[in-house]
Amino acid sequence: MPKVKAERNELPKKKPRTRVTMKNGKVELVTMNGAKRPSYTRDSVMRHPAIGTLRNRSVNVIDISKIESSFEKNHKLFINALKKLAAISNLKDNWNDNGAKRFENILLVKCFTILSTLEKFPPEIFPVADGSIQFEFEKEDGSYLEFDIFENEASEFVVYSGGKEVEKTIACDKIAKEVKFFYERTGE
Amino acid sequence: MNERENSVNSTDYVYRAIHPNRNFIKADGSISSAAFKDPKGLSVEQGLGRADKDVVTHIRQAKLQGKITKISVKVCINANITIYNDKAKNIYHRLLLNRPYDHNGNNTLTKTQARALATNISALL
Repeated sequence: MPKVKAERNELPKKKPRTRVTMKNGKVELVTMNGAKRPSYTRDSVMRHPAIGTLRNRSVNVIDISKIESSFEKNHKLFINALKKLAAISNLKDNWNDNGAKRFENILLVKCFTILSTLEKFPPEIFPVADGSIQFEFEKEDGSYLEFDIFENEASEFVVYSGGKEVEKTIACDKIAKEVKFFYERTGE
Repeated sequence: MNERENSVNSTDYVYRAIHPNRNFIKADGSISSAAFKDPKGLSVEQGLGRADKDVVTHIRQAKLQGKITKISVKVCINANITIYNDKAKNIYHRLLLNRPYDHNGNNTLTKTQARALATNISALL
């Protein structure tokens, strides 16, 4: 038994693992056991050994704040979309005071399924009086993508930044692919 | 164009009350095109020379409480939207249709038309 103890003592001490977080505009390093280290300036964070390693591998400079704020923004939008869809599922007959019917369960389940594939590109969601549910996406360059989702299919409408419009009917299981294509495509 | 698809003054405006349950408001505060899609036709009031505050008062009397969008008739004309006088008791009432009124059909504005309205709101009252 003492031998084992001796071996343990010989093990090199591991440095505590840390993660980088942004809080109130300040960059902080937090150890994985939860202990917070003092706030660091951006320069000191960029000298962090982990980031230094990445530099040595010729990885492009990483803007931590951009990655983090983009992730937080998308996560918030995704949660908002889930909440909105939940609210739509609670709408009763005549929800628009003009005779619109409540949304069918089969459509709601379909929309939740589609939304679950869109965590990276969360849509804005709206009820439509014709019984469909509308998913909207907009890029900073002004291009716009819209799906009116029905039980059996979806009607897609794209407006590119140059003003060109395209409308077509697609199967619902193709929506995630179309959205990804929309965000990866540059202006037209 | 029949007599009900009345000739309209392009300097006039139509006003649409957006349902107050916030279902149609986007995160940035703008209005979604979904607010302008209704298979029964889109109910609006035509200004017909009235001041905005008079139109708003009139719409509020009908117990419509949401924000009121003001849209130029020019936008409707450019988007080929039919402004249909349905001869309702309310003399200002009109229906915006995707084509001449179809009693049995779907009168929902097309996606292009609904988006034209949503992106060309002159004022939110």
